[in-house]
Amino acid sequence: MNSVASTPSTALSQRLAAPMGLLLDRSETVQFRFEGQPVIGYKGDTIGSALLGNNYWMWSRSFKYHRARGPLTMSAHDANSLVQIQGEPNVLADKMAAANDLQVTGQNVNGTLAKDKDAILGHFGRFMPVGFYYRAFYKPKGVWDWWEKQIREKAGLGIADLKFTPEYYDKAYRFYDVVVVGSGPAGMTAALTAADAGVEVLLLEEHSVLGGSLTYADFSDLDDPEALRQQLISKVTQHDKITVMTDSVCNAWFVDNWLPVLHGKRLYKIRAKECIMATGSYEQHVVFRGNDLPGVVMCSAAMRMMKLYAIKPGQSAVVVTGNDDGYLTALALVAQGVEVKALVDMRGGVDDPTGTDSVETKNLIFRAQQAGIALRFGQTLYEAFGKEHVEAVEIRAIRGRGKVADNGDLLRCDLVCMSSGYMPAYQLLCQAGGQLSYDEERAEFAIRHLPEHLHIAGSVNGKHSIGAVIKDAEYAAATALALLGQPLATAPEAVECSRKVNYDWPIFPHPKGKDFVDYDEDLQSKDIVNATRMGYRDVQLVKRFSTVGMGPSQGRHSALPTARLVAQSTNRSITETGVTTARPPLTPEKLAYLAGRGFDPYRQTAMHHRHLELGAKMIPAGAWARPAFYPPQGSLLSGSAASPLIPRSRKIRNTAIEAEALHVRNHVGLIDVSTLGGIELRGPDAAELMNRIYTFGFLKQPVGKTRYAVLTSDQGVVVDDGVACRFADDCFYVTATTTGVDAVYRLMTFWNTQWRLDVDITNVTSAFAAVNLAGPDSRKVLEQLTDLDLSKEGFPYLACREGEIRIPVDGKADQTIPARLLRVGFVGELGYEIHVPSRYGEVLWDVLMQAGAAFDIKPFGVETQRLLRLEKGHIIISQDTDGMSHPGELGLDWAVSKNKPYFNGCRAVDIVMKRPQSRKLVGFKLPANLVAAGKKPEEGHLVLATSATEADITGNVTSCEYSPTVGAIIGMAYAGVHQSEVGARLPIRVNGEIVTAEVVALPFYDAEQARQDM
Amino acid sequence: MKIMPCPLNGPRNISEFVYGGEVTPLPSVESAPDKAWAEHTFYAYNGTGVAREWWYHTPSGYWFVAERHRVSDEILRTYDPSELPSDESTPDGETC
Amino acid sequence: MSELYQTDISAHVEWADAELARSGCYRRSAGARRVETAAGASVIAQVDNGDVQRAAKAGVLELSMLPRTGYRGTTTTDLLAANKLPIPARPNTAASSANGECVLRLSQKEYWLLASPADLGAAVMALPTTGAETPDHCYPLFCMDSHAWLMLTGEHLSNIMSKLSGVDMRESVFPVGSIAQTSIARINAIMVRQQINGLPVMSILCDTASSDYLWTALMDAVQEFEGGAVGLDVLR
Repeated sequence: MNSVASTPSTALSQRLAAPMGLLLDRSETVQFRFEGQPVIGYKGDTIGSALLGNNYWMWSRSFKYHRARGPLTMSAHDANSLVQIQGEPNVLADKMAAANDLQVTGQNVNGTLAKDKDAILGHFGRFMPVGFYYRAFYKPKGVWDWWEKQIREKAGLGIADLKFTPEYYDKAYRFYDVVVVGSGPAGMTAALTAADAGVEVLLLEEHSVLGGSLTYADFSDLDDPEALRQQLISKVTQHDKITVMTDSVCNAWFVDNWLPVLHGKRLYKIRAKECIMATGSYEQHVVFRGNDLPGVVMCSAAMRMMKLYAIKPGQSAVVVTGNDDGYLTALALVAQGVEVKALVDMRGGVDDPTGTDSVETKNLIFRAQQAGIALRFGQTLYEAFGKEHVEAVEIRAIRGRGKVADNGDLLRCDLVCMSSGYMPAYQLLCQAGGQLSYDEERAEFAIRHLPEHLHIAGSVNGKHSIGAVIKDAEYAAATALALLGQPLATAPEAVECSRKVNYDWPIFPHPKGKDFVDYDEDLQSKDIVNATRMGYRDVQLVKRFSTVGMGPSQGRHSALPTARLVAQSTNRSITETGVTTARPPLTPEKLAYLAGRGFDPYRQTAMHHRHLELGAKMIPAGAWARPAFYPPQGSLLSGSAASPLIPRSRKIRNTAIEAEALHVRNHVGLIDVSTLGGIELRGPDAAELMNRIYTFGFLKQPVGKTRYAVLTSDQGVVVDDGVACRFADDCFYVTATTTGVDAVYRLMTFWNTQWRLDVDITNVTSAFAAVNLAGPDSRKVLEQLTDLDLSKEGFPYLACREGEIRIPVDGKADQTIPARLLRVGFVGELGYEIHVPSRYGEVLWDVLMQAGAAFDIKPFGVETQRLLRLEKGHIIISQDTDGMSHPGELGLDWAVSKNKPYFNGCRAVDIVMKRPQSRKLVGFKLPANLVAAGKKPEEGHLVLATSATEADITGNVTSCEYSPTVGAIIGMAYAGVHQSEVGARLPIRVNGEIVTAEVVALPFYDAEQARQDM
Repeated sequence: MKIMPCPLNGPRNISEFVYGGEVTPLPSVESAPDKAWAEHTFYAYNGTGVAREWWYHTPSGYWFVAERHRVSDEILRTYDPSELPSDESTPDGETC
Repeated sequence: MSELYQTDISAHVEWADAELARSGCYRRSAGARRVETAAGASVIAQVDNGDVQRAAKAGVLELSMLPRTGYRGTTTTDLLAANKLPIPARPNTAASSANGECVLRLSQKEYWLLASPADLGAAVMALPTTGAETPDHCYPLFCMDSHAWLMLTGEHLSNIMSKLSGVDMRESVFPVGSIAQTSIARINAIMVRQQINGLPVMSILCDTASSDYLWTALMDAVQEFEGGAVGLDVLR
């Protein structure tokens, strides 16, 4: 056979007759293009099987040496089958269903698959030893930048389409009593045993049909696998307690049996009370030179080609095996008209004289002889020859572990089938904490120490005859049922299976290499051995140095030979050597599964759309969006507007907040403060709880008054603040910061769970919408809307009231809404915070804007509010504080009660405040003209001990803004204690230059508090 | 994702919960030396054995106690804080 | 984050001008026919002629202006008994009154009440709203304003919820009267399975400020089941 394609018209006629071709629907054909050439197949074909049907055996080029590669497993377990389909790279040709009009191309190709210009790299193999990249390109400095580009063009897998159209992927949970992963004879039996006991079962199968090995394999203890398969399928699919999901990959195991399953365009997050892994085992290859040529395949791959897709895999074959299964493959090949030139059994040679002595093996030897197959015992393949397809092999006698005779025989063939044994599909189980131990007698890994609710059955559990597999599955299901509290009346017993399927040492290094251990990464046996000789003795280090097992097939075929080679090279046992850590995901998964339909919650205040309608510039505040400012309609500020150093967006912002700030200072403004946290405390012990949580004293707080509330952490750091309103002896309403309220609420309930005070604590943040109506005209606006006495005496500064807001309704009597009003001084003007039930928030905004129209009321944003409070020297928690800020540093000593026995963090506050203070939050001032010069300090700029640019850092700027009211740049910064006195010089490093500010007393504006106390 | 059996809400994904530290009594606010407070604040036991921990179920605002094995991470038992012995649930500071 | 700034929904909704009380996502259903509730505000009565059909499959209702209230404290059961309301036996279970109110028991001593669609909340509105009207140690809660009330209806409830939540809400393990306080679509919510007017429904109580977000998440989730917005009429 060669790689000249047959014409589409003859391709279909080359298929084998039924019952071969289990998956094919021969009534329908599909046609697509491969490397531009037409390909025809049947419905049910994969891209890979259709390619084989058209005699395309070379599918891709290898990662490093650009060697020709074709099918290896035919079960999507290797990386040789990765192809590109239109914009989608890394499609597994032996998994992806063939469909009309696809454009399929090979991968890792410079030019075309057939004429890959980089195929020459294969000849430079000895100049690209293991660890080549790590060792070759690091000197001189900078050379890597050039090399990286070159290497990236040669390496990498496929080409992503950056102009893709997004598709809808999503996620969903499912819940089952028992989830069985794998639908082979073990999986179906376990599912049936569990479901018969009445529990809900999910059966997962990665392929499109149920049956696992029953679909393609032959068995020495089962005459008619298809009959058993049909029998199990009919029971499974008719069982009302079993849900079947095919084409579904369980891609990881996470704690408490949380299984991510990829199916279609959905990631299922499946919770299983009990999980049974019947994931089977991976057939292993034989390591010899040229074992990667197209036409060299696993025995199971040849079986799959015939039984699933009716592909005749070759004309003349050589089978090399270390177990009985190779005989079954050889017999199947003969039955389908393939000449088997030789059946090379690695067993039974001079150093393994009893390897073929079992009754079963003797029986198969007899059957092979009857079929006219030439048998060779104690021999192996030493080399496969060919350019883009295998053309011949050299067979040599085995002379000890990994050694062969000096000479051998050449045999022409176009197909080589290999089986050296099996590796349990260990990945999911090792993710769950299972440990591999190597059984020297059986030359096989077994899995131990699984979590309590995770079970294994079948060949993954070392059971290699149908009889043992079925019994093992019943046993696993019974164990799961017992844990579910539904034990079987007669529990099956654990089964032993003595059938040996692994050959001890199927590794035959060739002096000229190309004896691949890892196909994905083009790693040869000497690469693994050399890594150990360079000192990387641990298998984890061997992996990182050589990249073995890092490719898409994740060590399915390389883990076992690597463990054997490293163990031998480092004189340790294979159990001690082990395999590298298995991590999720099991198979490469599209980012779409993870990125698809994520949840990105947002919160909106009742007035959110009013801000949008006014064109507000919105900024995030936790999950909320808040207006930063309302962009000005007119011209930009003349001062900074002329400066080329300031971007236009910044000029718009500056203009807006300066205008908004002046408007609040001189007229009246309105800001949405609904995002502020709110906590309601009710009950006889409400004041006691306040007293124990916050730093101030609250027991004697009068009803109708507010008090500043500071919260310190266990470490004595200021972590939140708010205003506590006492509406009754037994009722407090306390505000908290927008992003801190959940933690404050949690802290209060945490302590009260232990204190058991007689108080009810409710987080009412979303229950209230709130605004701050601020400015000298605010009283005039509000008095139109309420019957409350708003006079200075009737409702003084720092008082709080409950009352009603009147809502004028066209043509009808006014309606009222309940409201809580607080006279607070955050922005430093006469002002009222008005809190109403959130359903009335939008109406409150509207009515205030209408009532304020006569006074030219303007909305203002958060950035403006920040400027206004800075002018007043008020801190914002987490902007002007950090993880070290204790009350002393912030000048909040006055808010810490010395007369009470306890508050949260009290001892820590005592301890940190006793220490010599190293820094203090101070106010500073700079000339206004630095704004236009681009030298205004920003938050985070460093404060230095002296004006030398390399001087020690003593603090940092926390807030800084140009204040049109003060006529200067004002700010707050942490400064060293020695530079914190009023009048001190404060060197600030602004973009590398030193700007020297003057420390001034806080506040910057209205130190007498006359404005807010009107 | 790990499952936490909540005494009020039943088994839930651990992402619904917030860890609240080990159940340890506060040292005496009046009489404990500074060092004892610092150790209480900053040091956590880092050995093996069973830990008794505070956990908070966010959607229902519910605090409870979980006993968890520090090596296997197995949650052995969860219960309402009212089952805590009273001398452990109340810090000495309550005398204020 | 782009959702934060969205302006694609109708900015001005005429009927809303006449109502003082508005829900957090009233703009989402600007064109639907509405009905006034006992709270003096309105909810959607009917979206269009397809309501009944959609509701049977996967309906989404917004009932935030249908009254509800709640009480917490050791004497709350006295208040419920005095008002002839049923008291669910265990936390996280619900019971229905003869009039169609749903009483939710959220903890040992916290109870919420959801109005009956039949009387549009008149009975709930008659219950005390301030601490002065309730017994000592029974504190009225703010659930009408702190929480929005959305509802899913129809035959696909479990499958819809499985796209939003990690809690098993299949009917076999989460029958009518079950409550889950959990996280759905990454926000906290209280889920209650009910049967109203012969329709399987799931009431969802979530943070008021998140109701617009949850509305979009629910509308997305019901798409594959040929669902969509419906009005209160399907419950009466």
